[in-house]
Amino acid sequence: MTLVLFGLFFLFLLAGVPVAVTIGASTAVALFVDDIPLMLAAQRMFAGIDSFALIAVPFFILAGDLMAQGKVSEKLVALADAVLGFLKGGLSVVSVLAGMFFAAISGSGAATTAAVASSMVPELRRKGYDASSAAALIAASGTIGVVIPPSVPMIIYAVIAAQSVSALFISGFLPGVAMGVGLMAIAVHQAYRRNYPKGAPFSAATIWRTFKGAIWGLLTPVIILGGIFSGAFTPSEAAVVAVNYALLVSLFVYRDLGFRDVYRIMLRSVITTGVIMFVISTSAILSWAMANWQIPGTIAQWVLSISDNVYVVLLLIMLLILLTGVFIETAAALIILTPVFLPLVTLLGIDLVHFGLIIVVGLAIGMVTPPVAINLYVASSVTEQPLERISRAVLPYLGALLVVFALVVYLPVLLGYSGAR
Amino acid sequence: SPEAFAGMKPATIKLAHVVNERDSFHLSAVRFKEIVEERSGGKLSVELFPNAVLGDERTLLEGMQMGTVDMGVITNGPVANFVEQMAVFELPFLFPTPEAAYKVLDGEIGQELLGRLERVNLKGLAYAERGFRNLTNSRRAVHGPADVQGMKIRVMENPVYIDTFRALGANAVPMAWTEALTAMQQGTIDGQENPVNVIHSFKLSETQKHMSLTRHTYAPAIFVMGLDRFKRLPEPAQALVKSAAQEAAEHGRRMNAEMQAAQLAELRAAGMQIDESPDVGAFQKAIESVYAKYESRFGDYLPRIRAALQ
Amino acid sequence: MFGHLKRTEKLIDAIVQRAAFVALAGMIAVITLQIVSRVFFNAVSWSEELARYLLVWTSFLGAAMAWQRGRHIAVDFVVNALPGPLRLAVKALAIVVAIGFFALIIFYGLRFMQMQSFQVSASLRIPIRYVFSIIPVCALLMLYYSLLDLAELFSASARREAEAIEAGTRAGEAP
Ligand code: NA
Ligand code: NA
Repeated sequence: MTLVLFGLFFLFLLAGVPVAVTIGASTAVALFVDDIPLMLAAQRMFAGIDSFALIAVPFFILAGDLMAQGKVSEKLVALADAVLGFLKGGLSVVSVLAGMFFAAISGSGAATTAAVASSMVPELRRKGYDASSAAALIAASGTIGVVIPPSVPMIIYAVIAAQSVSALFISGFLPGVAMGVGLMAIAVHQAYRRNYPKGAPFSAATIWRTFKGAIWGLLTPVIILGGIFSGAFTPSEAAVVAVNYALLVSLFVYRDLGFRDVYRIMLRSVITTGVIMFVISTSAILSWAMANWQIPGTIAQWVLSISDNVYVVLLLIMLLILLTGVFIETAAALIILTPVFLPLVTLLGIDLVHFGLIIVVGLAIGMVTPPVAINLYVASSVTEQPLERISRAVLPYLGALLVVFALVVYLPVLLGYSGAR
Repeated sequence: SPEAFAGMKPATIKLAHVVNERDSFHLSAVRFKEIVEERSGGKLSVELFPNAVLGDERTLLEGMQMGTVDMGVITNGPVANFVEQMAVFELPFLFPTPEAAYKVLDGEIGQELLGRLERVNLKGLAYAERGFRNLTNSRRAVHGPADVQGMKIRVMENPVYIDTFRALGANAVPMAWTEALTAMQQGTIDGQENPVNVIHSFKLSETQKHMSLTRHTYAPAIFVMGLDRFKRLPEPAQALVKSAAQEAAEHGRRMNAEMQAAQLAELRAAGMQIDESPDVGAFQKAIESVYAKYESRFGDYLPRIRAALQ
Repeated sequence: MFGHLKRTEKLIDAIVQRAAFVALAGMIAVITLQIVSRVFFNAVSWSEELARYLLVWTSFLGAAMAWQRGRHIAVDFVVNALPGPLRLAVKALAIVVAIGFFALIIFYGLRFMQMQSFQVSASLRIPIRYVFSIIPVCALLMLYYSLLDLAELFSASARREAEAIEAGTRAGEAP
């Protein structure tokens, strides 16, 4: 069965069968070979998405999308510019900071990239920045979108691993900021080498003015996280509150969207949701089959028989996460990998919230590693820069993200927070 | 005896449940496995799948109907989504003691209801137990219904529970269990109700300061098998499975009773304030409207249970 | 003939769009009601369950919309690197695999609905099979779309007709 399952899985995947169908079809054949009633497939597809926690998926996508469309992202960029624009190469640092601001509103990496790219790129070009480098930096900052809460991948992980969404959200803050700081450091270094211009001088008055302008956007994370941690609502409900808030701001405060736009944006979110949920749905067949054949447990025993050193096994896990992220989209990779790794990391005594952070950060990096690299595609289509050039320009930023990833994996272990058996 | 199984082709039963290895469900399941494997001379073996790896309780029941899972230990609540009359046991304050519950469940009424599961392609084998449910909260000590007023209490998505807690004056919030755990941490809800073993195993003492042993509802659980799978077993194996389930269920009940004192002590040590004798009479009076509403919902089972308890 | 089938696809998609919008908007309304009722009044008892079922419907309607637009995640760089005739064969194989999977979901989905004719939901007490029915329905839609894709893959005239219809309906069209 295992051979049939994995053989067909890779065959279908490489033949270009959509990931959701690849998972469902290869599992169905393996179930048939093992004489397990195939009605199971229909049942698991329903059970896999019949979950209240997953309600946050469409709504953190929708909230981000509503805000990305209109003035909210412009005003966040203006604020970021006022705060860090005075530095040499300030504009690229500003892109990263704007990415971090927007990450606190949106649950997805592509939306973060799109929001920042569309407001930043004309400005960057006017001031003579290298266009593909700028696009690559914005794509790399987009990865922060799923690390700083809210985060759609964290919600999916929380559902699969039965962990608290709130705990995962809190754990994402510092790593998200670290990713931003790492990217800024590279950007400043490049600015000196390429002799980029300085921006307008630092002015507290400008910061105050742009801060007031951006207040509606800045309030979003306050409402989402404040609501969750004060107990007013659950994380899934918070997503809906965020949508209501975004609707209010764009329809009545900034008035930058009409009802027709809202309809269009909602349907776009439905499509994105359909794509992710279809993968979750068919994966529920796969994870049942793997549990039934006890495959994850067997893999765990096998890995531990090679080495039960927590540093070595974590290195293997890191490499496998990064490799998967190169070829498979973040949510799909997360859904496939999590049930495979859970028994292994549990046996190693690694905290499951920490592991959730590891897998989310690792797969977020996959958003900028071609061939399957959603953030690079978004950045390329907004900036009209060829993908090849952005892919080359992203390498130094990738280096910074990898350093942060290693810290996310090993620092908590070294501090004894996790993995100390 | 093993001799009766000499000619039988070896077979395996896949038994799944949704709780961890320390729970009485699992202890019952292990006992079932031991009895079956020993008395069949190893011809019939049992493979255990704890921790919901094969699905939640609703989908496990579906799995038994479809033949993807053979057997399960399942709480009564989800079973009632398939056979409504099963919910009769969960009316508030129906059973005064565990012994009274055992008498009804193991007697004619309980067995008749198990038989009803055959109409939905399930074979009810025996009653294990989840146990008497008690109220916990983070706000204040609860002695009588007056203390529950306005509290946000998480209940299962089940009309009887919702109406019971509304009748007590609480703000009854139906919520999935996984959501409820976070909701208790953040204070989105004030309290919940469950048997002591659940309160203990989920360490609710960390978020819930107060517990009242209200024992408001007795929740049975069921050793249940897919009907087709059961019928495919040869005659002696069917008899063995049935008697082993009963013995294993009684073992689980004993373990629950034995573990409860230690669990309560640990909860107390963790800082929980426990009211061991709340004003049950006042609670019972407050929920009379629930009986008015559900009296005729379950055919003649309610009057028969009452008569049996006289 | 093909043009007629393709126009039917567009009509179905227009209906699916509206249904998906209603489901998503309904979810927003239901969860907003859930929060407001719990915090300020007595919690409504059915909101969580209804929201979950609307999520299932939104997801599958969205999956069907995404299928119609070719938006599902797929690894296509290998296929695109293949020489012409082989690429055509592999693309056809991919569509056939999908058609097989959808046929399976429809067949066993209907049998599952038959078997679950007794089961009702925990809170609203509505038959589970009605909630579930969106899965075989959307599988049927995606199967239909795939058959047209297959026709477009092998027939140049079908491809031309499809392009003409797409171009004609694109103006004023949602995503
Ligand atoms: Na985010
Ligand atoms: Na990638």
